[in-house]
Formats: sequence, C-alpha cells, structure tokens
Amino acid sequence: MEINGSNYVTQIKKKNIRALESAMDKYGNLVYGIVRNMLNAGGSRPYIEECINDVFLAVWNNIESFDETKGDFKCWIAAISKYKAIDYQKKLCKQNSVEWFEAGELYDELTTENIVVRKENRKELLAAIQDMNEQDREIFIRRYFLAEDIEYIARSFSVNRNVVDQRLSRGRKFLKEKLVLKGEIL
Amino acid sequence: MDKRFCLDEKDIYILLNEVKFDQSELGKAEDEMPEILKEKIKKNVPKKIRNRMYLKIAKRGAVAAAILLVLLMGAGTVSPVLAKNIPLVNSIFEILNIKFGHYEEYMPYSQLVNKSVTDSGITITITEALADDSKLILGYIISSQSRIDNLEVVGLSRFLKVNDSTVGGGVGAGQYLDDSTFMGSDQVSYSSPGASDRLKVDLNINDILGIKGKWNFAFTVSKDELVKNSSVFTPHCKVDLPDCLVTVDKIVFSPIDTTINFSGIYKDKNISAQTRAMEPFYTWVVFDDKGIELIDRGGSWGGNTNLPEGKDFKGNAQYEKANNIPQYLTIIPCRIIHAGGGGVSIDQSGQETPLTIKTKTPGESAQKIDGHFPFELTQGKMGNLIIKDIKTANNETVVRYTAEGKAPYLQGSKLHIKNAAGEYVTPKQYIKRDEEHPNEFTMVFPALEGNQQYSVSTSRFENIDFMEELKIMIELR
Repeated sequence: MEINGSNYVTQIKKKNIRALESAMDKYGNLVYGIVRNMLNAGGSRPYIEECINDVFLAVWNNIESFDETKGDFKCWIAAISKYKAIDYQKKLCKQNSVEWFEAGELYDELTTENIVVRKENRKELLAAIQDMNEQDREIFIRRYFLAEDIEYIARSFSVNRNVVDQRLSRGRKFLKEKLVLKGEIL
Repeated sequence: MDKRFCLDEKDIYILLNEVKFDQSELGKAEDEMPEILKEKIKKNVPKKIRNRMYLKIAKRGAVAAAILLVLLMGAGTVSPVLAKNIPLVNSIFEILNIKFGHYEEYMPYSQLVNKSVTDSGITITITEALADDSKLILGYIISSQSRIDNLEVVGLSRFLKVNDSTVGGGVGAGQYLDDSTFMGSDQVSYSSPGASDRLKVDLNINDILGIKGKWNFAFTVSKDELVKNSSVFTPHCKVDLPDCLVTVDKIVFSPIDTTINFSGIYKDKNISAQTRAMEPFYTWVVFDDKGIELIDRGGSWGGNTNLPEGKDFKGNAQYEKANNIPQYLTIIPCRIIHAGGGGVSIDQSGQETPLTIKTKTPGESAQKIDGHFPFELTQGKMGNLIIKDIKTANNETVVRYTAEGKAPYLQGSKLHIKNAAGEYVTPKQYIKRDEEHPNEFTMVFPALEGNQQYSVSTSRFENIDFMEELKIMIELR
C-alpha cells in the first residue's frame, strides 16, 4: 500500500508502521520545533529526543482518538507535542524538586471552583467539557491541558486577556454546574 | 493539571481535537530537525512500538502459558544473520540458541522436514522437527513480501494434530531475520503416543494473524532416538496443595531437557476451568541432590484430554537437561498470583474471549546505575541480588550479579534495566548461569548510552508464595 498525503491517517489506524514513518517525515520538523522550544532550558535539553519519541508513540497508540471531522491532523499532532512537552517539564521539575510555577497557578484557578472529580466519573467530565460552547472549550483546553499563558491565548483569539479570564471562569462554572447537577463533584 | 481532572490520556487526546492552531502559528513553530536526530527517531519509534506490542500480546497470553511471556520479552531483536545465509539443517535451533541459550541440545536429534507451502503471499516452511514420548518440537520459517508484525505470537499448536489428536498448550520463541522473514520454534505436548515409533503430524494452518489461507502439511517424526536416550522414573509422590492434590507421575531425563509430568484432583470441583485459569497458579522450583536449582524452561498446568483415570487435570514442568542423573530431587511448590493485567482465552477456532484475571503486581527494588559497585537489591522474603559490576564494551552492556536466597535462578531471572523514562531495556541475551558458581549470573543488554540515566531493578516477589513447608524429596533409583 502506497502511503500518501491523503491516506496516512487511515493507514496508521490500520497499524501500518510505514504510515507513521510518513507522518514523521511530514510533521517531524513541527514536532521538533514545538518540543525544542518548550524543553530548551539547560537541564531539559537531553529529553528533547525522548519527548519526540513519545509524541509519535502517542499518535500511534491513540490514533483512534483523532477525529477527522473536527480538525486536521497537523493541529492534533501539534497539540500532542505541546501536551507531551509540558508533561516532561513537570516531570523534570519534580525530579529536580523545582516547583512548576504554572502548575501552581492552574491549581489555584481550579481550586477556586473546587473542580475535583472522582476517577470513575471521568466520562461525565469529558462529556461536560465537550458540552461547552466551542470557543470556551478551546480556551479551556489550551489553558488547562496545554498550559498556555492567558496573554498568549488572548493573542491567538485576538481578544484582550479579560475576555479569556471571563471565558475561563465561565467554563469552570459551567463545568461545575454540569457535574454538580449530575452529582459528580466530590 | 490532568491529574486533578482524572482523565485518561486517551480522553485528553480526544479533547486535543478541539484545538485549532492558526496555520501561520504552526508554520512559525517548525524548526529543521537535525538529520541525525531524525534518523534516530525513525529507527527508535518503530522499535519501541514492536517491543510494546510483544509485551502487550504476551501479557494477554500469560493465562495460557506464563513461560511464553518470558520468551517473548526478548523477541524483536533482529539477528545479524540474513535469511539467505541460513543453512537449512538445524539452522533455527542454532540461531535461537544464540539468544535463548538452550536450543543446542536439539540439534543432534532434529530431523529434516523441509516442506514449504505458499498461499496468500505467505510461504511457510517447516524446516525440522524432533519428538519424544510426550512432546513435539518444530522449527519453521514464515516469509512474506512485506513484514507481518507480531509473528512471535503466531503459535502453530492450535493447528496441529499428532496421531490424529489435538495437542496441549505450547511454548515458542522466534525472531525476525529481516522484514520479510521470521524464524521460530514451537514446542507442544501431546498425549496420543500411538503404536508406532513414528508420530504422524498434521499441521493445517488457515490463519496467520488474520491473513486467511491454506497451508497444509503432513509428515512423520521419529521419537525413537530421543526416547532410547532418556531415563524415566515413575515416583508417584503426592503433594497436598491448598486447593488440589497433585501426584508426580513421571520424571524424564532426556538429552534435550528434564520433564516432570504430574496429574491431580481439585478439592473443590465446582469451580469452572475458566475461573481456575484466572486464579493464582502453581509452579515447581526444583533442586538437584547438590542443592542446585534446575533451570526452569516452562511447562503447562491443566488440560482435560486423555486424563489419567480419576484425575481432573495434568501438566508438566520442564527444566534444562541435567548433565547427570541426581540421586534425588527436591521439589518446592510455588503459588503465583498473576502479575499482569487482563487475559484472553483462545479456543481451537481462534475465537478470543476476554477474561478478568486476579492480579497482584509485585513491588520493585531499584537503584540508579552510578558506577559504584557492588550494591544490593532486596527481593523481599526470597533474598536479594548483589550487582557486582556493569560494564559496556563491544556494543553491549554486561551485568554480573549474584543471587542470594531461596531460589537463586528464579531470583536471578528477575533482573531488569530501565531507562530514565522507566521503560525496560530488552536484554540481548537472557540470564546465563556460571556453571562453576550456580549463584552467579550474567545478563547482556544492548550497550547502554553514556549520557542516559539507567537503573537496575528487581522484583520483591510479593506475588509469589514459596511453599517450603510443602516441599517433597523424590529419590531416583
């Protein structure tokens, strides 16, 4: 089977390793750019290669989570790259007993709404996030899963940071209401 | 962050579909990946995928045969020997011997079969076979135009008939020689001896990991040579285990291995076979008359075809061949709670049924490799490992260590090396015991990278009940 620009996702789903190699050729520079940018501090640099490996392994192991109707593969792999790089940053900070500043900040934001969900209720949480309005949802995911800075999100959406703050607050409240209604909040 | 949300990674990857990065933003993020890094990633990622798939599938198969997992752990390393260079006779056992270490005993007794069948673009060649009174061992090659992944778990036993009867479970090992050639060996136990010295073997394969076809073989294998060079003892000793009463029926010292055959009755007969398969299982740790542990090569427990009269199950345990026949053996039963996750039962037609398995994952003792030796790793109630040194030279890393405790070989087999990400490094050559000093071992790994942090780890054996109070001694006269 020849792998081309239109069938590599289908072929990865069929567990054709050549298709993953094709994705490596196509998006290697993007993944590298994102990971390198986030892990470029002295102590993190040796983990760039490992992190890139993890990104492609995540694509391989979770390709069923990619939804072609929602977005394009390039955005998805970019988001995974950010997510994995943050994961490495956290691990390395923990390993070196350094507090991961942003994690603390995010923790505070979430604590204000007391969003703590039992593991067995994760499906409800996922459904609740998916029920948010489209823009609130994206802002919420960028902030809480990709740890993007509020100013940066504001620039991406061409709004000021107050708007992002409001959207995040609205998202947290929405989530809380949804989960309280279902009795899922601890 | 995600921990507070308690979402699985899979869920997070679903959510990441919602992120719509601006294309120009992504364009700016790109950076030319150095060629050398690109090459490494293109080499390492597929390798990791293959290793993980083996482990995943091997874990599923753990219900059927725990030993299979051990053998498959090492699969995936490509042999430097190319398929076109393989001499046919004994080749498979010769090559497997390099990695797994006990196949050389097969060579003098293997018989050339050399039969090939091609269908659906796949050629299967049965190269050689050998047999004794209770087992049949086949060497085979599967070749195809493009790589078929996971052939380590292909398992030919479900397609086999010996003297017109289906066979018991099997163990196997194998490795890829190149992308289009896989070479393996399967060992099955049978209980349909027939009147003749020759076994009638029918192998009718209709499925190779989802690829349908017809690969039918019929041939005979003589068992005479192995049988006449074997010594057989029939002690009929009994072991009273908590949930069953086991009789050691036969011990066979053959030129290729040592086998203990046993049968037994369950105390509670109302438990279904499937439920039993999910329960903790037993194995035997065996010592010779010098107190040296026999090297375990796996075996089977269960099976209800051709059972001795009045028995509920039978099984066998295999060990490496003995150089001399000892005056007695000491057998210690070991109750093991499965360490792995789920299970799958596979019936004769290949139909899979998911099973829930009772598990207990033992804790690990680990220490970072920092160049200081020796150091000790506790293995809980079983004893400890002493890591004497770890040296890298000639493209490989050799770990030399001693096992102190109740079952040194079993303990020694539980040595692992992990990288900084906590992933196991697959050994290049599994545990090897020093013949002069049976508590001393070596294990060989691919060369560890100097700039990476690794650790050595071992099991604390919390999932194993070493039942010394139930040990039996069997005199061999």
